[in-house]
Amino acid sequence: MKALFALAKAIFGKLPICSLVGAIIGSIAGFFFGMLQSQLTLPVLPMIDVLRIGLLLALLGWLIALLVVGVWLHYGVAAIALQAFINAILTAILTVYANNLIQQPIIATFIGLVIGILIGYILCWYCRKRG
Amino acid sequence: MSNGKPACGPQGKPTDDVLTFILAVLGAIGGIIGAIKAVTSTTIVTILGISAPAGVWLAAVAAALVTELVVFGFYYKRCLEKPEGLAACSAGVVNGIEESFNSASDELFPFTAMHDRVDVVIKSMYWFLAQNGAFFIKCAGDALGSPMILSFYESDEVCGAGLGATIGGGVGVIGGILLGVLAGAAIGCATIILCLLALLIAAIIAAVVVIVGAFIGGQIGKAAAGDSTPSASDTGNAVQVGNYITTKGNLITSGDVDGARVYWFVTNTTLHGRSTGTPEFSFTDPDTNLTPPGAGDACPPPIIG
Repeated sequence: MKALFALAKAIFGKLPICSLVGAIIGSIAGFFFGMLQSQLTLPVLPMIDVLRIGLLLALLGWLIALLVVGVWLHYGVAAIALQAFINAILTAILTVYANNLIQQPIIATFIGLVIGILIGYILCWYCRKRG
Repeated sequence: MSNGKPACGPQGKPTDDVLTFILAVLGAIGGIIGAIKAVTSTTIVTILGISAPAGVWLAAVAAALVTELVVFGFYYKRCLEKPEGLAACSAGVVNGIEESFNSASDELFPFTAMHDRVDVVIKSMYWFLAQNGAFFIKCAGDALGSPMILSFYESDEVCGAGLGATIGGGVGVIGGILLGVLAGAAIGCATIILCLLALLIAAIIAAVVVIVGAFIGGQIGKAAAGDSTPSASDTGNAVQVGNYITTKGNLITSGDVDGARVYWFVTNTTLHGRSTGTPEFSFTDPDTNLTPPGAGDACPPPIIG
């Protein structure tokens, strides 16, 4: 367990909190969309389906982020709600969009995680820039 | 003896160990189970007479495992980790006390409860302890912004709740998976949206059952452990706001409190009477009233030269 904590810290320890939240949302979105792709052997979906699925997964990811980060880790639900919502919408839709194009469900979770890190990093950078 | 007052607030970027752990667990289990589904051609799986799409089974398994590992992660971090720190001693005045299980969320999710915490405005001669290796300097709300060291007292209640929640969650894993799969199978995979809903419902129900198990186990563990409050090591008197206090223990940089230096845990507490002031306290209070330095408190006198 100590090694797992150390490994997690080594991989994700330098990331800002927005990236960590984004990565959680992205890996959830990637996981479920990947499962859906491999369960139904999906073709490339039209944009309207990507948006529908992305929004549904964004809602789930947002609620999980609020529970885990806001409540369990005591950051406060009100303190993170809006930022996490924007993060969730962008990350989940982009994750579904990317996985829909790439069509490789075996790495869908990983793709979502990376997209979440990038979106979170950009959002943190933007917030810092605005002061 | 006083050195320059450290600036309050962030001194760098801390790491939230539990959050990075949760992300690692999510990424690893999600990645592995997603990959298993991607390389297997089976579409319907029947276990214990329950037939459901393979994805529904795997979504429920993933959610239950991640949830249980997260519950255990909290317990490990709170009670089993024993991080190495600096054996230190400091003194000051108690500015605030945060007891464990002081919120509805701690009662609902007992594995997330934190140990009892005593916030001490320290004498200026101990500022270096709050500053060295810190990513954040916690300060009182007085006009001077007096540095504090947060002192955690190991709570049997918190550890009992953590252990109970881990066991309760573990018991809930199997039930959660079965219930989740039953619900997911009832929805089925006739269309894309229905199939996505089946996956989500299976996972949510599996996770919720594990959390319910953790709640029940946590409450049982908490009740079995009994209540404890921070108290003096010699007299057993309870620590109160306004007490002059000496704390000895293991000083670490804690990601749980923004990277501030904290005692995790206090091993010895000495009380020295009460301040006539009220919170928010200034460091000038213990500097003036808990004197002479190194003798007015219970820390060993500083080595000079």
